[in-house]
Amino acid sequence: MSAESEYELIESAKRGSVDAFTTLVLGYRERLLRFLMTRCASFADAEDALQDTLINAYKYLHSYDPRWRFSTWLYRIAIRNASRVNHGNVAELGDIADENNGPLEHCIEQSERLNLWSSAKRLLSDEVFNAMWLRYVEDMSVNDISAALDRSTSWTKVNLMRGRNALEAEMNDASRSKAYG
Amino acid sequence: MDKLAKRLREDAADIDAAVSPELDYRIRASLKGVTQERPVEPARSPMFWWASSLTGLAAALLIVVVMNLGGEPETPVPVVSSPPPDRSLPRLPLRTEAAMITSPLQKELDDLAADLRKARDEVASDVESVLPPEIDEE
Repeated sequence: MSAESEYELIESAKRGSVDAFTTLVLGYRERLLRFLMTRCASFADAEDALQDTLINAYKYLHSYDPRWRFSTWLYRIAIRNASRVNHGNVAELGDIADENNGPLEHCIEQSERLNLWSSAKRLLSDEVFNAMWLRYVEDMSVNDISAALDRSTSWTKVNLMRGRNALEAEMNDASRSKAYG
Repeated sequence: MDKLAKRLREDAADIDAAVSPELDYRIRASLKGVTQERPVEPARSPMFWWASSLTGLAAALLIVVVMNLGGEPETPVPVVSSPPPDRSLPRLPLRTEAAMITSPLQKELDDLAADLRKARDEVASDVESVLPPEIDEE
């Protein structure tokens, strides 16, 4: 979608057009859901978080600042919703979500090789995981990641480097064990 | 793109995240029931309008008062000086004659000087006879 058509859709959606908003977010829905599946304890939670994200985006569209990329703004909302859904579930169930039984693990269990995002979930903190996802899956700039996470650019750079080192070590270990195994 | 970045991108694509028709329907239905929040200008209290109106009125009155107290601006009055008393000497009729050089130059010069001396004496006697003595003393 070109920047001009995205801008026009945003303006139409601001005037109350649900259809324009639906078209606007059509390309973002699966990307957001994929991200939310890595962040939520269940597939149903990820779907709820996606629904809340899109509703909040539509509701507060007037506060969207066009200086940001629209995807940055959407991810900012999605990260908050994922955090809220997870905390709500923990409080409600009184139990910690099973890390080995989440939607991410369900999706990738058919794969024969190690999925690095599964390792990232285990090795990295939530914020560093988010930063890595935004950088390597969404191709966001450091500035956009900082805006989405509400962190400084220095923090983002340092933690992207740490996350990268951790995942590179994991990737090398996996390939080494595969070679010797 | 380096090896890690490529691997991370591929692994993310392996995560199957399809939006089901049910979820799509649910989202559309929810959006139709949402009222957008519009940024609202903070409402000013009635005191604000009263205060600003009174301030403007007071400023206008102050300007009117200051302008009236100051009166009309002073315009520079041209100084009319009275003409000085006419103390000029009365005009005397001058009679001039062209000198005819008929003798050698030195003699002519002596004659002209004598004529000039006589003329000066005549002028002096005329002045004494015409001007009042008090003016002369001044």
